[in-house]
Amino acid sequence: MEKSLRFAIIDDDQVYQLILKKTFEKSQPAHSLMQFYNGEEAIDFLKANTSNPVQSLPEILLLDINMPFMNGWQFLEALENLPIAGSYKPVIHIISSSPATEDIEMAGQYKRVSSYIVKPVTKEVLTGIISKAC
Amino acid sequence: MSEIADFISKLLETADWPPRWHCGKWSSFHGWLFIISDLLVWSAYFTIPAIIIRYITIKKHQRFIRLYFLFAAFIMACGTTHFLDAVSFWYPAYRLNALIRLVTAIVSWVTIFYMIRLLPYYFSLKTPAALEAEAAMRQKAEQELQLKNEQLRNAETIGQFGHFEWDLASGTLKLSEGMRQLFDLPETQEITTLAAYLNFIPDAERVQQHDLLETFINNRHFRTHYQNIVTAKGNKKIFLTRGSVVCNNNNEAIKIIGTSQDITEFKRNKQLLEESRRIFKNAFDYSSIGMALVDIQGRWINVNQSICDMFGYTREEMLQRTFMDMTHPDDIAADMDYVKQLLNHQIDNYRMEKRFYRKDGSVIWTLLSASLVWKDNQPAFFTSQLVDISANKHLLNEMENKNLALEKANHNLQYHIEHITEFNRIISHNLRGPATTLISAVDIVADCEAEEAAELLTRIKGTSELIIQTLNDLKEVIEVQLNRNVTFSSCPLRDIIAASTQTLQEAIRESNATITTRLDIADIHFPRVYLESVFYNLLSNAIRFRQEGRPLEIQITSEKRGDKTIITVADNGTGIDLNRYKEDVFKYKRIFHKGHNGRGLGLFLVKNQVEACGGKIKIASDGTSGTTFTIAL
Repeated sequence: MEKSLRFAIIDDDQVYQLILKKTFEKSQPAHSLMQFYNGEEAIDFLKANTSNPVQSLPEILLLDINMPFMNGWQFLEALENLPIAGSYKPVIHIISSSPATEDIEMAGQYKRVSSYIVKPVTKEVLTGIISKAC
Repeated sequence: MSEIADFISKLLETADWPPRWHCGKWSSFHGWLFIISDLLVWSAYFTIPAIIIRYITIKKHQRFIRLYFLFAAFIMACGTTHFLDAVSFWYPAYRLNALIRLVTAIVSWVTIFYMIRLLPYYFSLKTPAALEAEAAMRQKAEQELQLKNEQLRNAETIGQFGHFEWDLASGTLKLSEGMRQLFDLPETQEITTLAAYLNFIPDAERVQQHDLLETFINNRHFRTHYQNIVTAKGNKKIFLTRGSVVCNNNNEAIKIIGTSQDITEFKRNKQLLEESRRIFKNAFDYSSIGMALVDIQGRWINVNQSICDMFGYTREEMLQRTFMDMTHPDDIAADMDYVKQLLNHQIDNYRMEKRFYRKDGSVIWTLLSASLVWKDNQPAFFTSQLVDISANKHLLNEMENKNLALEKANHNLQYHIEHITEFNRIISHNLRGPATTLISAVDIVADCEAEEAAELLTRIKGTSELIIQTLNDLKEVIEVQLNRNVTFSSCPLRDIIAASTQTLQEAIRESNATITTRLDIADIHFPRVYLESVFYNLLSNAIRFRQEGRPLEIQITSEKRGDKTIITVADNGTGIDLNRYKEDVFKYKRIFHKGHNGRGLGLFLVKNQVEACGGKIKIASDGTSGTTFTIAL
């Protein structure tokens, strides 16, 4: 039996969030999904839940780059500075609309980033992410 | 006579006398006292000569040695008489006794005569104290002599000279220690003859040297001369030899004494100096560079052919002119300034490009290198080198112009690349993103319930509108960059600011903002529409990001700094954390403050408008007490 994974989307595009949520509910009902609309919201959530066991935090992060207030790169740096950074090691996928090489190279500099995915995120992409995580 | 014969024949006989014990009345004590005392005296008188003999043999070179022997003999004789006295108690050989006494008497008197004869000599002898004093004096003299010798040796070593003495009568030659060192002589080798001395002269010059010495003897005069020497170790040296011929009362030469000094190094240096002087002269005369010596008044002292060719004068004509006569008036001040620095010891030399007039009146560009030669702390003359750079100068000017053009083109290119990169980013994030979303949305809408589908369609419309908006923004910015439809004009800053505040008057009243201005530069040469846009955006940003609870103050200044006009717009609002956002401040759709409905267009547009017209914009903020924008045009 497949185990249940906790996903989090961090993206400011509300329509994309809506679509991804739909895709998720349809194709991957076994897994849960949290939604944040920019990096700061996600970091605030992680900060507020540091007392919880690490096991209850999202295990897979789908992270956009271009966001107001705190973009994807800034989020990655803020994550590194969290008190729980040592024990909390989620799988992070950069989900960007930009196929620009400089962004891909930038993503390569962060050890926590496991892949760089160019939008759109289809059912097949989601299945791939999940099968890698199991 | 018969008595004497009888005495000799009966010398050892004792029959005529009784033994002494029986002659007179001897108590045993008295007799033995007599006997033992005599025997003790006898043994003592025999021991003393033994000691004297021993003393003489150990201490050699004793004076008065005969006297010692006489003493020894006389004491021994005395001792013998005492022995015979003791023996006569049993063996009364009175004849032998008398003979021994006679011998004793003779030896004693011989000793006395000998002593009397020695008396005057003895009185002339010195006391031991006097002897000691003399010895000390001699020792001191010896030490002094040694010291003097050592000083002489040191002097010879340091001065690299030596001393020789040639005795003409005996033909012997003496060399001082210094001389031996100059010849590199090993300790074992002695030089005592003229022939051996002449061996140090090279074969070819030996005879000549010999003849020279002969001449000196004949003339009774030693002439100072140089000698080429090959030393015992084969080193070649040059000696400077001085001396004198010593004569006796008959004016006959008896001795030659002299000193030689090793001047090899001195000679060699002199040769090197000669050589470098020759090289310099060659370099000076035949150099393709113009070279000259110029006196302190600026007169040419010496010029080479190249300079004459350069200026079209003959050497004689040049020497009648001065440096300044020929210098282009525009370059005199700079040159004189350098000269002053040379004279004040501030610099050792200088190089400058300067113009001269040729004889035909044309101007020649030269590269001048000059330095000042000092003699006894006084400026002596200038050395100047001149290279004709007229042709180079022309090429250089052309190259400089081309370089400037290239630099400008490069700058433009850089600017365009930056903008293309920025557009690429905008297309990736702000157009491709929403477009992808649209496709995904259309894909999914078929699977949705009616209600969900309706919501999704509303969202799709919003996204589409966003795309259109972005496209419009881009169009506007591209137009700015293409500089299309803009004309530069003189814009009165006061009017521009007034127009912006007019548009924003509602917001200004609401925020209760005070705007102060200090405009040193009243008019700006800039496209008016852009300038209005710049002020509108900066002011509306200042109002939007004001600090709650702090009355908003905005200060606008303009001033000239160098060849640039500087405009600043400073507020006391919330500021921005530049450590975090520095890269993004002027980029499209970057939003940093929550709760403000910014589109992220204003500063992007402002930067484009300023840069499209050749200006620069910068931001400064400490993140809490306000923001200052600085525009340099």
